[in-house]
Amino acid sequence: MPFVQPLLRMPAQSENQMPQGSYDALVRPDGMVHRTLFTDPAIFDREMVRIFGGTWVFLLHETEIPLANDFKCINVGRRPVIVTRTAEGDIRALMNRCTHRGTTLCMESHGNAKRFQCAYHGWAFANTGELQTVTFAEGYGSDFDKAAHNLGRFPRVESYGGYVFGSLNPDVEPLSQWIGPAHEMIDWSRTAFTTPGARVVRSSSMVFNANWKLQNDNNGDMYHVPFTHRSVAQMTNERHGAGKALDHFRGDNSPMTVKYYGHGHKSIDQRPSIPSPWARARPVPGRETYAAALAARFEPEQTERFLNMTGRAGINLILYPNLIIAGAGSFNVYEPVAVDKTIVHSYGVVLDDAPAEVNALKSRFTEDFTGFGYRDDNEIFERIQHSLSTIPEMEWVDFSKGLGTSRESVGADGTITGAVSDETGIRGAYTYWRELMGRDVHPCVLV
Amino acid sequence: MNGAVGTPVEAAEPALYVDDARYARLWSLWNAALVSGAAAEFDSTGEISRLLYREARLLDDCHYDQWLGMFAPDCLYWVPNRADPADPRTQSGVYLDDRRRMADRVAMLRTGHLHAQMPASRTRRMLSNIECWSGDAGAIVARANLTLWEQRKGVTRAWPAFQIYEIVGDPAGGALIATKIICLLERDAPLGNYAFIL
Repeated sequence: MPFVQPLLRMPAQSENQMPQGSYDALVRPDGMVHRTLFTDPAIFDREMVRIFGGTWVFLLHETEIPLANDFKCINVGRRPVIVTRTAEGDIRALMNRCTHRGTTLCMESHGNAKRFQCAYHGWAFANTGELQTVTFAEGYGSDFDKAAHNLGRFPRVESYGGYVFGSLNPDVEPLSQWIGPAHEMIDWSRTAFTTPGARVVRSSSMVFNANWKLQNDNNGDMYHVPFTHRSVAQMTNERHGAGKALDHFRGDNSPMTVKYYGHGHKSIDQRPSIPSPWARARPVPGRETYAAALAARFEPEQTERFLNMTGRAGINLILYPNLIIAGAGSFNVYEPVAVDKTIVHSYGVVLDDAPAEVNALKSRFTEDFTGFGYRDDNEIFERIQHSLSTIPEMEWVDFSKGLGTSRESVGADGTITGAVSDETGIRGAYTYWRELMGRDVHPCVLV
Repeated sequence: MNGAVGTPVEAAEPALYVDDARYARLWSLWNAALVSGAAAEFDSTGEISRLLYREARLLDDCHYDQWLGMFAPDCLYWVPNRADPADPRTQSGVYLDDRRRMADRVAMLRTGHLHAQMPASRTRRMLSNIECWSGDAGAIVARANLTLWEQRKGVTRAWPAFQIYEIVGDPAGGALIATKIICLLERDAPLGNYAFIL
């Protein structure tokens, strides 16, 4: 498809035009971040362009659209986007907006379609984005440029390990370079916990009244676990004994670490303290019966491998801005809705080539932390949002834990490693926020 | 009310009944209750509606021990989250609890540290359109529409749903709920922060 630069594709100018440099003052080197990052609608609008349009953003997993002509509708930032797999098998990200008068083209959440026809005046587009049919075309003059009316298309779509990312910034670095040293965790997650029959499915979605970055911060935060999740931990300990989920973090005397990889990416590495996800899992319905059924049919080593596909794998890898990979095929996607409203979509994996017992156990475990732990996280986010929105006299949020200590070290590849309860990764992510927001060039271009 | 912090909950016994046969029974209940367009077989007034109203009231009033006591030993409590749910062995929901995990939720509320229920939600469950059919093995299948009103932190919202119940005889002569399915109207939309027992 030829590169075109049609008139409909000029950069939006409606976003906040705070002068360059102002953003530097909002994220300070001493770990203080200004409250307006969470409360100012103008900053949110700029994030939707500079961050969700300026760098790579997670779109979907390849196995969600496995067949030719499969598609899935998502939002990238707030933009409605159709992600298609064309007849040739390549993946495209197309604005879900008719180029005629702006109608949303596709109302299905997912499906299989070679083309999309607008409900308003019948224009029809191929799943490549190409405008195929203009109805009653005799009403358009000879200078009507059909190619200029193709669907708005992301200039860059690339994938790594099955995770598909898109960018509206044609000059963004190659995906693998952007992921950088964080690829180690993606690789680990794949080889340890997925099989050729792994198929990603959405497990649940939730909404809370708080800024999306609070979720992004929290997934890289081990400090909160004993306090925010005290109800889960206490219930688990009282009813199911020691050694179950959340019992593995009791301060910094542990081999676990946090890391900052650059490009906003951070992680918590819990693998040293979670040798067996199954042993640490809270009992789910069917735990005893299905474990026995597997043990009756498979060798102990294979049974253990199957059971360890159920349970919390030991990584939190947060790829900026909108993806957390939690291992074992599960990940969450953050979808910003407004400065004070966020949707989080949770995904799990169904293993078509594993015994049915494994999928039944995984299905029940998928309901575990989403039902128990996320409740308290969301409550905390909403409390933070309320305080930051209502107390202008207190301007700063403190992410300094770990600074001024000797707990951080920088590796040969630039990765910063900190003590597990430190805010090292979160601070790193805000330096990337500052970099993206402060650029004086509008990044977004459609093809 | 007996939802006070520290009140003990029944012990977490292994739920040895959650196997393929029990899942198949749940799945067949769902399909039978949904697919049939048949008129109700018998009037719901009397014993069945008293049972359903009581279960709703015990949840609203936080009488969780008595609430658990209304369920059969091999009970399942399913809240699907798909537009058209499939066999729950193959997909997750909001939750599908056995008796042990139902009691886990009660225990969480009673730790006194469930921030999402501090302050606690006040709820009222309005049941209507109760219809009954004969189920397998002497069970009774009931359907009802639900409007669950929740008030928390000054905001009142509704959780509309329909519910499916499988009711079985109790050796003592009464009736127990073997299965309850809560099918929220917004089941496939992003859910708000439910932390009370749906």
